[in-house]
Amino acid sequence: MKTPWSYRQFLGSALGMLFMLILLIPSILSPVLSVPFPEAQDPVFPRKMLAVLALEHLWLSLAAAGLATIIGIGVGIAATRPAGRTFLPLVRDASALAQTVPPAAVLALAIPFVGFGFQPVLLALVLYSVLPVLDNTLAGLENLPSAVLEAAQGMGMTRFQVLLQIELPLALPVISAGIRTSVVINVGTATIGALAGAGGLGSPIVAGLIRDNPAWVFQGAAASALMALFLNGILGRLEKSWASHSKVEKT
Amino acid sequence: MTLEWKKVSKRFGDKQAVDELSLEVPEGELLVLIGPSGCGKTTSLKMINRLVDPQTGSVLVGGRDVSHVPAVELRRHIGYVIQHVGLFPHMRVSENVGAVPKLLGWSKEKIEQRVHELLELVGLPPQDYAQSWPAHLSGGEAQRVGVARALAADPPVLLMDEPFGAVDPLTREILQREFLRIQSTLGKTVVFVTHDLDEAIRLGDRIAVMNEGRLVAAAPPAELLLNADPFIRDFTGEDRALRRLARLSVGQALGDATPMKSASRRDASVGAIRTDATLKEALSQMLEAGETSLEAFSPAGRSMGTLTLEDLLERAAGEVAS
Amino acid sequence: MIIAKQGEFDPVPLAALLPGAISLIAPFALLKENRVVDGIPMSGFQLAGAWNWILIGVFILVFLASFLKKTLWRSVLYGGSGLLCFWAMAWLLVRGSFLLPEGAAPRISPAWGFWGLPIAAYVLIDHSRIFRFRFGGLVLLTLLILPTALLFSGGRGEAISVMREWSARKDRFGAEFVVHLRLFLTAVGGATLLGIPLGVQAARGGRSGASVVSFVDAAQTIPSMALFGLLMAPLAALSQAFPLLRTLGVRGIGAAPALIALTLYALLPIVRNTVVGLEQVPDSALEAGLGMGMSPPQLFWRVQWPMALPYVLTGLKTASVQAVGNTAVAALIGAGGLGMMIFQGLGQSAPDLILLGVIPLVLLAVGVDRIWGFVILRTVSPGLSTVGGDS
Repeated sequence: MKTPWSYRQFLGSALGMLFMLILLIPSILSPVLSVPFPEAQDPVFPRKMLAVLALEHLWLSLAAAGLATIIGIGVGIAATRPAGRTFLPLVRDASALAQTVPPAAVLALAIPFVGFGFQPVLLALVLYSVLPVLDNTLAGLENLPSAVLEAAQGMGMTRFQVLLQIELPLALPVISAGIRTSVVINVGTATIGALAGAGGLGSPIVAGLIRDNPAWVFQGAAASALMALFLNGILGRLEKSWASHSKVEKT
Repeated sequence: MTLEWKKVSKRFGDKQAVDELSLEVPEGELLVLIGPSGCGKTTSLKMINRLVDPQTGSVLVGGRDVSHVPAVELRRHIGYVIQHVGLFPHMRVSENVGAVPKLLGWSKEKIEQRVHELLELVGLPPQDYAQSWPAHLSGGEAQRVGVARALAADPPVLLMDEPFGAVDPLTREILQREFLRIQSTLGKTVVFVTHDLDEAIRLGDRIAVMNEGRLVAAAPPAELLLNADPFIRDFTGEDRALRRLARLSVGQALGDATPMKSASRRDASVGAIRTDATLKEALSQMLEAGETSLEAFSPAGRSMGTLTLEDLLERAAGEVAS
Repeated sequence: MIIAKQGEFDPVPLAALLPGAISLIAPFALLKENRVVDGIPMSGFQLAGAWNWILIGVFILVFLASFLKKTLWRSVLYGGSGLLCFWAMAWLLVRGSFLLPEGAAPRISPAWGFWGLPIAAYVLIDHSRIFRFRFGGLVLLTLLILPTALLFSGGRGEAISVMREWSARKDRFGAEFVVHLRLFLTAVGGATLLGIPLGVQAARGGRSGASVVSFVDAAQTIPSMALFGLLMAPLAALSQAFPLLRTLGVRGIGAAPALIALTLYALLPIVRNTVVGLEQVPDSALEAGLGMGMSPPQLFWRVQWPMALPYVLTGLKTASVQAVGNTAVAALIGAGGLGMMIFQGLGQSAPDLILLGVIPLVLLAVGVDRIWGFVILRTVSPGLSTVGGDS
């Protein structure tokens, strides 16, 4: 059924369009920015186009989230199989502990040991963003209705088939919520990653702070905020459509 | 304490939930409100403790119009039991039961003593249950606590909204029996909402059938089952004759027949049945054994006479008021 | 029999032995003549010297223990070995500091292999579960810290890089730490005072509760650094327009925008959890409360609030832990705090200075988390222990 556009959808699309315009056409940006920031001499960040920075940022965040997803789901599956079950309490405790560590601290902790640049920041992002995926994978796989699993075993599925055809599809909405969290965290932490030389939308913020140019700060901040909102919105949509396919009947 | 609905009406939006309901409940009666879902029975019940206020008409409790009594004050003197129990999970069983006395400002010792009494009354030994948390109770236990909580301040009126609706059939039957026992000692004025006809017949002194907000009939169970109104005939179902039999015990059917003098010259060819069995059970036993008569024995083992198939047929067709 | 039957081998300690072994083989620490030069990498083996057999002995013991039946003794063995791993970590650093070359301020910096031993210690201690009794956490903390402090005392620990950085700026470190505490406590305190009433109000509004939650969830996705950046411009403009604000310290950069942003951020989980906590109270409990004659304030204080409390407190915990980390980021806009040292270290490519900021930051976050965990355990009714999220 087609529903009329809600104000939120409208707002979201309008913001998205604005985002695109700002990113793609620096010549539009310059007069726009000189209104609120009249004393900034060079209102548009000169070193790289905002669009390029946004792509860098997106690539860094998504690559880290992708790796984190593979690792998180893998560890989550391993810890819930009969052979790996003895590791489950340890994995749970360690993940809970690690999640209290601020993401910025993980980044700062990793740098002394792995150095500056894109790859070290990527590694730090992966390390931290594994946690939400792992947590949600565990939650998704552990809270499946036992009747469904019994039925699957009862009809003669192998363990592997049960995992692939029953457990993972049913846990998908929960797992994808974890992936969304991990993407959002990465977009945020990647901004700080500019300090460690990872590039991305944090660089105009950092440069603006150093050179006392609020226009640059604003560009980086607005672009990264919109990117986070945007990705969260899109992934939330996907999740909802998946969730509606795999609703489990509760008895 | 008497209750009365006087030409009470209530609309929710387009829907006429209660339509000119007039009904009196004498003191000590257990009135069952029954009807299909959406018939207005729960709304009518909630008007008594003012969880719902009628648009027109008035509700009287003990002769006083409830709209002149502050809702909070009124409710503290009316026991209220609901289907989902609504125990407070953060309070122990004893605190749940003592909630109303605490609202009324009773002393600690008095509350404790009362909680003790009530847990005994509902069949939950206080030493085992007083300190438990609601999360650890079974459905049946939770509902017993719910009943104890409603009775805590010894309210003269008890409102019960499908109280045994969410428990399994076996537990429901036990709870019904226990509740009848409690009611027989306390003699509260009770309004009991249910959609289960067997429960209504079992518990009610009088049954009020509602449909689409209107009162269709209000009569003692036996009369209701004979009612010729098409809605009621439909509502009571094809097996109402059996329901009538289920309502009476063998002892009642035999009337005040004096116990046969002395010991049993038991005829081996005739089956035996206890006097506290229902006539429905007696019929089943006859059909199974291919008998036309059963010898009735009191629980103490004394022979009370012979129950015949003719007796049963007569009762099923139209019970004579006893 | 104390040997476990076949197939009952406990594989978890292997997860400790692997990182433990890495600490021994891989570069454990760097010996440096001063802050800037590249150091000489040293593995755990090289540092331990003749004492190697102790570490290897512990590892073998743990490996053998994994074949034992599950008994208290096995757990004690695991836990004890875990403690030994932790102490060994400190001890290896002290050993290393005796091998340092001559110089004005030679130092020993942890290298990547360093982390193997604390990981091994964590795995063994967590798996042993022998400190899972009342106040067991405090006992464990004492057992970890006291011997380590003894090892480092008497000047034996002063050559460790973080210590060197610390002694070079003791006063500043103390000041930044206090600023950090003050910023995050003020932000969380303010957010609590604002957030709980806001949440209660939103939950009262029925439909508005859900929209508040979805708004808050979206706002939470905005990166903290972006929020700081976005607040700079309007605050700068405000302070331009109103000189009075400037005298109060409201400028684009400094503690004021940081505090505003931190408070806004901390507000989100508090409002969210208050709304969710109040909305999850089942209708049946409310109906029962109303039906027994509770007045609206009584219903709130006796039923709704205590039942929402685990959610609210979990929200406060989340807000506090996040605020500790976000306060570090706030250093970028001149708020001060531990983040100053981290960012300075990043700017100067001085890993040791980064560690001086990060280690207390992590400990503060974990400590705040544990304190809230304790508060939740103490204040929430045991009848609700099956609900209330991740406490």
